[in-house]
Amino acid sequence: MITTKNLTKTYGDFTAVSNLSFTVNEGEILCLLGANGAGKSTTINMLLNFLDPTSGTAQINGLDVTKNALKTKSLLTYIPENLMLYPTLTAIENLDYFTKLSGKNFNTNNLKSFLSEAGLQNDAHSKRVQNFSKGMRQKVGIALAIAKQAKVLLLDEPTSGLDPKSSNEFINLLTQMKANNVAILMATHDLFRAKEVSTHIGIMRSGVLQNYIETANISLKELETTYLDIMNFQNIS
Amino acid sequence: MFSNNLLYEIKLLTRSKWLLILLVSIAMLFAFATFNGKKNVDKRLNDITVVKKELQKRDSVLVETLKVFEAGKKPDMPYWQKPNEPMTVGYQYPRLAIMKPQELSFLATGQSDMYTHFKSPKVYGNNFALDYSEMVNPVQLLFGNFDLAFVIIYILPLLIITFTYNILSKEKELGTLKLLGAQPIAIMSWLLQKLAIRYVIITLLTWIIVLLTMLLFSVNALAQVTNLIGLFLIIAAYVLFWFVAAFIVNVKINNSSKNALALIGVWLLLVMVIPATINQIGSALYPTPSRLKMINEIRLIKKENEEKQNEIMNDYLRTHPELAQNNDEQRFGFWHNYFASEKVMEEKTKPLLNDYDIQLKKQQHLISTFKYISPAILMQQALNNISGTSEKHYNDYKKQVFEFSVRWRNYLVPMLFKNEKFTLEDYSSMPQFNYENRIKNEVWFNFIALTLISLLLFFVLGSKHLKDKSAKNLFL
Repeated sequence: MITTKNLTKTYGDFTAVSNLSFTVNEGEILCLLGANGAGKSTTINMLLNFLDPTSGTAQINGLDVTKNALKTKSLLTYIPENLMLYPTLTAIENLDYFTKLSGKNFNTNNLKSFLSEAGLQNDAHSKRVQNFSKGMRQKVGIALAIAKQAKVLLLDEPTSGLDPKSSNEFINLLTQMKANNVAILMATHDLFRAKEVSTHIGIMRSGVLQNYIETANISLKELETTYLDIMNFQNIS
Repeated sequence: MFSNNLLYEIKLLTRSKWLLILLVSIAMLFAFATFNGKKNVDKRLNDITVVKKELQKRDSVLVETLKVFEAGKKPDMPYWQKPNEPMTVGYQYPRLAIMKPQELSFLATGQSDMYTHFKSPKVYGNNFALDYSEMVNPVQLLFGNFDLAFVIIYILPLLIITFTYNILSKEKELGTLKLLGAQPIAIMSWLLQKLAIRYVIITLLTWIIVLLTMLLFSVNALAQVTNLIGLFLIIAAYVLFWFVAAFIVNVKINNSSKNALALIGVWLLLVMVIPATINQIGSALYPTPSRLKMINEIRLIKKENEEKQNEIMNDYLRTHPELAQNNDEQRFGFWHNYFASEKVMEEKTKPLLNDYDIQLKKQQHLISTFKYISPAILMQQALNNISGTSEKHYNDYKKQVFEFSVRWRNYLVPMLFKNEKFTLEDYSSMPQFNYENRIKNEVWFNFIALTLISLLLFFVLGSKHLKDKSAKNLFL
């Protein structure tokens, strides 16, 4: 479960995130939509404890991320926009390295099964990741989440730059993770994918959560109109 | 986490070919430097062998001629060539005062290309105190010697810099740092482990290559085990210093190109600028007197003494009654007058020679005071100390030669004043010079100093980052 209460981050006079409050329960996906600089990545960075909140709290499974940084990190997996791995290591070795850093130890067969579960073709398991596409690298990231038995998945624009097939595969993986009771927070620009995969959508502008919508209650067209209204208001103001 | 880091750090290093490039670079540089150092030592040994052979040849002539005299024959030769005259022996058959290179002398040329390693102090003339310099190739003076000390002090830090400058920033630029930061690990511990692994790899590689090159060039390093251990420890301390510098630059700057520039700047300052500046300040503040001027002044004192020869001889016999025969048969020739005035000469020339020594000592004191500013100075001192080629070693050698020359004269002068002849028995009991390394081993001190400086820098400059376990500022 991911919870933020009045989460705020300011840099001098500039407010990156303002009084942000939301909860993502197990088996839910919250997609944060917004233009560049809306505060989506700053929110994820605070949840990862890469940034200290100016005020408010951020919690993973009830644990404050600033006070229990290592405990909360053992519960989550983070997939950035461009997931980078060690290019001279194979997919198995990369997965082995990061799972061991998380305190888990698996044999090669287990690691292979995690990679397969994440959708990575078998012949790629023992190849060095230097020639992997972005989609393939993200599958290794998902395999890490599976291996870690992560309770929380933080995704920062994971589908940007992916071809439609890879994007579709990735969304299917997220649906599986959701079915496995993982709480997922995804920052994205992609309204179509957000509508397709999420349980809730938050639209952010200038660090403020302008709209919090239950996805089932809104059509794609309505979502687009709402989003553009908020963005246009920003441009007018 | 450590075993995982160790395994994957080695995998990453071997697959990136970096380790191989580093290994080959160190091996080639060390082998070439050892070859050069060994060549210099071999030249010294060769020179010593030649002069020893010459001495043996001269001695065999001496012994044969003495046998002829002791058989009661009187060979036809001028008085000043007769070896049964003590002054002939003292002047024409001087002993050799050799400073033999040590097993590890190949490490650092030090002052060995500036000073001689053998002298033959005669009963006449003590100007040898001023005549210790070797003719040196000016090109060599300009560029220095490519010995192991040069490679360790100047080039090894550059290799370490290329190996460590981006140890953290590369992760940031590659994009893996955020993924690492999202794992339940203290990133500072992870970084320190990574640095420690690389530190052990470089130190071990350097040690192994030093040992292998020694084996390759037949250096019997085991003959000086203590110095060998000292060498390994001082290398480890020097490598540690550069790893600490890399750690501080990585956590404070965390940008590969800026890190590289900063570390090269540190190298330039500590290895090149500071030692050269201290050297220049030393020479400017405490210039050594001109040797030519000193020789001229000594000549003037000699001339002055010659004019007061009778007065000097009377004073001398009053202070050395054992040498006075108190009869009219005692005749005083050139040698009698020379030795009688020697003490007066010594007293008058002492301030001149002292001036030279005092200035030199002041220069050395200045360098000793400021040596802690630059690890390169500490390192050079330590390596010269291990090699036995430091300024202190050569000054002490000069001192030992002077002490021996006094023994040599004191052995022969009483024979002169007592009109005694030099015999075969006297030949067998002649004093011999044995060089003794009396310079205390500074390597341990320098090792401790360098380690403490590194740890101090690590804890003082890195404290802010060490305390911040989450190391948030590194990720974004």
